[in-house]
Amino acid sequence: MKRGRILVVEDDQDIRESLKELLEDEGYEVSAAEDGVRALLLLEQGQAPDLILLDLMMPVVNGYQFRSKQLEHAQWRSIPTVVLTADERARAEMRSLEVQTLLFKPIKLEALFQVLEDHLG
Amino acid sequence: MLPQRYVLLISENERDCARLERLLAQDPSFAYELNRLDASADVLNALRARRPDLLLLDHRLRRQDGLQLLAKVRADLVGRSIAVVLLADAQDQARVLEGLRMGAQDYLDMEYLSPQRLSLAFNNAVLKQQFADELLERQASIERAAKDAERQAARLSMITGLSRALAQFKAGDASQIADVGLQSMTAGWADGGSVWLNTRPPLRRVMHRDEETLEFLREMKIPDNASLFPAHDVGLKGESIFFARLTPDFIQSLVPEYGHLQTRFALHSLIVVPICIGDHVLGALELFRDRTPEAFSERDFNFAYLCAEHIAMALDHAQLFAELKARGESAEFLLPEAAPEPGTSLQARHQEERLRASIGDGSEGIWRAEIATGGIPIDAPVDEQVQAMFEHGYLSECNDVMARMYGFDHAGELRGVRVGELLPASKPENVEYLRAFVRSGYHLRDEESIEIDRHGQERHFLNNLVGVVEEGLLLRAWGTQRDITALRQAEAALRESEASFRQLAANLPDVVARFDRQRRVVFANQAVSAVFGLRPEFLLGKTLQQTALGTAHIEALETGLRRAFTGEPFEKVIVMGREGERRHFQTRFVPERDAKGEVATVLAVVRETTEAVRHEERLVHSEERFRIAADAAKVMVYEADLERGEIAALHRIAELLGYEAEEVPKPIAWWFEQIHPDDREFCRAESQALYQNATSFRTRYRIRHKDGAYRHVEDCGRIIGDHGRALRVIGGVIDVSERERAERERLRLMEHLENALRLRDEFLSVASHELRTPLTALSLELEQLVRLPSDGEATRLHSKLHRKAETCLRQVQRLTALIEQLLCVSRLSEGKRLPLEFVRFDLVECVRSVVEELRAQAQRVGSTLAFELPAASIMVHWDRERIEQCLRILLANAFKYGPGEKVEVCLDERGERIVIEVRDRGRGLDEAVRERLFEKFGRGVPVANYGGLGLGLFIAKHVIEGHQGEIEVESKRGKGAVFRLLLPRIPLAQNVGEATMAAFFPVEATG
Repeated sequence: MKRGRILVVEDDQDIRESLKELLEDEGYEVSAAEDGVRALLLLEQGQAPDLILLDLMMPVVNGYQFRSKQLEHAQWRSIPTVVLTADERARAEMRSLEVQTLLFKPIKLEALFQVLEDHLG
Repeated sequence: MLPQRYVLLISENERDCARLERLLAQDPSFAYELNRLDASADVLNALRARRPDLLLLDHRLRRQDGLQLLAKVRADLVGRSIAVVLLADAQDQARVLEGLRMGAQDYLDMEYLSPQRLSLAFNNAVLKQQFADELLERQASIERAAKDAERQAARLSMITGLSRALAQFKAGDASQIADVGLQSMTAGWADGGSVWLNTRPPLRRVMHRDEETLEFLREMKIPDNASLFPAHDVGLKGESIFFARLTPDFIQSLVPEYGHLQTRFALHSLIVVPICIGDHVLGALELFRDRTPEAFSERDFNFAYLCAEHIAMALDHAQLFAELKARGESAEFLLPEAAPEPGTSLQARHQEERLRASIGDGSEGIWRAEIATGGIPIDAPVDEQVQAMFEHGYLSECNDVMARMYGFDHAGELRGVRVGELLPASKPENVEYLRAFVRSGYHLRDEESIEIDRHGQERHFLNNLVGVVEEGLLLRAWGTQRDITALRQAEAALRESEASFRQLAANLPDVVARFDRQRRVVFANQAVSAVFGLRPEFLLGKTLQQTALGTAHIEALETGLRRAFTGEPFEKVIVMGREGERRHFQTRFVPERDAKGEVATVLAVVRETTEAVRHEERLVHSEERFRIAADAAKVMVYEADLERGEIAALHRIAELLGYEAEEVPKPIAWWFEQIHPDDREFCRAESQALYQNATSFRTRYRIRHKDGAYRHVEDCGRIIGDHGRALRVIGGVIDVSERERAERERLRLMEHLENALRLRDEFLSVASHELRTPLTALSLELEQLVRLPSDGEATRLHSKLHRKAETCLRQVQRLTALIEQLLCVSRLSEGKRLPLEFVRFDLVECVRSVVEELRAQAQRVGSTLAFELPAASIMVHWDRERIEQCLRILLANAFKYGPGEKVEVCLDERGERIVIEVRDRGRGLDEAVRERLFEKFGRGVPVANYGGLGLGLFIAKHVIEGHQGEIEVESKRGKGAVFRLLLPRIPLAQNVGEATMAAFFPVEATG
């Protein structure tokens, strides 16, 4: 039984793979993309995830851009999205990102798990 | 030395005489000299020879009656006033009484004679006599006074009459006839209007009709039965009055006399009119003309007659007065107060005749009015009579002059007009006028009436009228009138102008005063009290010396007055007072000339100009100061005349633009050429706009220096205009090149700084990202390692791995914290505020999670971490992350500096403030250290002993203050420390959204 489908959007390979492994260990089904473009492709191709973990600083298409695209699509916009960021300034952007949850890097596992539980039960 | 008394004694009684002598010698008050006289002696002579103080008379004489002798003495002029004492005896009562009645003052009873009685009798007698003498004296002087008074009264009435006549004459037409002469002439008589002649001798002689005069009269063919006028020298001292009617021809014929008169009075013609009562001629009145050879007019005759009337009456009264007085009858009625009997028909008829004779052409209106009903009873009540006059009186005769006065062309048009039409009864003055006519006995002189002419215009007339009464009825009246409308109007205008002059003078701030020829003040306006502190009332009638003005004032004013009285208007500025209290008066003296062209009065107008002068001085001073300031300030000051398009004034141009003032062309256009081409248009446009609207300006532009380089200048000033028309510009120009440069430099630096900051921020952003990314990877891996199950086969290896992973993780956490602090502090040190995101959260939950988080850390240092959970949640609106950061910092410190001790966290609500406390029992802090605790790098512990950046509390303080809270510490060395955070539940001035507010304070909050 899967606890949910999570899409991880993160450009740093180590972080991405670490998160994927971690979450799968926890019983989630995880897909990962290394930038905004690939993330959007994944959205288009596959099933919509139950949650998106979104890094902001990424090449090609960054988190901001992805998010705005995500919001434009009716079926994607309602997917709960948690922003992962090292940038303090992102907090101010929360409203423009229309995100309610922010996790600051380095991420505390406990915090992460709490957030997942909140959103996915 | 006793006072002497000389006593004359007449007695035949030896014994009595001896006794008297003896007694007199005993009187202590007087030294008596007694002279005994024989009864037969001539007593009167003796009295005259030496007047005694006292006469002692024995009435019991043998050869004559003592009392008869007394009578004789008393009858005599001398004897009348000598004190007499009778000698008698007791039985002679009757005789004594008789004697007293006849004039003796006292008596002596020789039988019972005492020295006191004697003395008393004598003294009494003397006194009484003295009193009697005094009385007589008084009586005599009273009689004399009475006689004088009578004479004076007569003279007075005479003079009164004459002066009235003169006044009338003079009021008539003084320019025509120079004077009324009362000439001393002689002999003359009248036979009802023919001619008299005059000679020198005074009238008195004529009165006596001496031979000489009679002879003279005969030679002149004057019949000697002609009545001659009396010479009433009632005070006219040699002058006398007589009359004649002399025509110029007759005068010619009197060559010697006329020649003399002519020489003396430049006489060409004269008229003389009789002064008479009825047919009885009293005298004559002469009028002469001293300039022209013109004949006299009817008017002149009329006037002369009128004068003669008055004089006749006066003379008549005077004569009668004297006669009556001589007869011992009362003559008071003749005195001037007594009005003439009303309706004295004789006088009236004379006047009537005269007036009729003179009706014709004159310059006076002459008229006769009749009563339509025949007559008005003179004993009727006054108002009834007046009413009758208005209603029934009508004009029966008049001359053309009179008609013209009413706007008609000739007399015919006016005849028959009712009195009431000319003299409206509606005017109370006219009613009074007629009342006065009645009351005066139908004889009015110089009464004014206000009448209506044919055009309805009001006219003022001066009237003389006389009524003719016969048999108790007023039949008609005669009158003359003069049109004084113009005069009245002129008077009214004069009064008005006088009043308006006074009004003007009263309201002028300038002092106005008028001086007469004696330099006395005849007028001064109110301003004199404001300017000089003197009330006008106190100046009137005084000369300058008599006023309370200071000497300096007076002298200065006197000079001006003197000059003005010579006819020269004079103006000067008079300065008075001491330094600092100087007052300036601009004074004008204007001579005012009378009708003859001579200076009659001088008008002085004084204006105090002290303020204006001071103002002037201040202005000069201020200009000086301005010039000095302008000099010092290195400002080029200019004044441009826009109408001429020229620079009117220029000051200090050299420093600014390198030119000397003389080198610079005047036209404003030249200046515009010197402005930098890039700025020129702008400047031109701006000036145009300014000239229309503004009053002041401040502008910058570049202008060329003489050396060719451009200088930045600031030009500021004022535009002076008039109703939208700009006339002048006054401005100051300063070189602001330096300022410009500095400004630019500053801007450049600002930009530079901003760039630098931006770069730094970007760097920090990137740096934090870069630093955190590897940390994140590390942290994630390590955490996973830590979470691996640690039991089973691989336990030993796992537990080693586990331990090592834990250690690594801890270090990663420490690194993270340090990086956080560094990044945080970099932001703070630029003065930027920490960005805070306020959210609503439960503080209790927050604190609990932090405590849990750090429990492991606490255990590692051997400390216990206690947190007393409050019963309920505490909702706050803070930046959760940052608050957690603060808590972590405080707890980390507590572990660091108080290892092995209990660490407590407490929460408390105090109204709207929340208190968070972290207590430790560590080494504590002393006072000196506490002050620097919250500073950047401020440490509470020696560097040598403890690591750490010293940034934690610095950051915590900023965070708490960002929440509008406070952070404080309580500590004593060795006694641990309490760090306290006090924060408002909802910090103000944050974007507390409505949703948040509603979340905190729902409408139906239950607590």
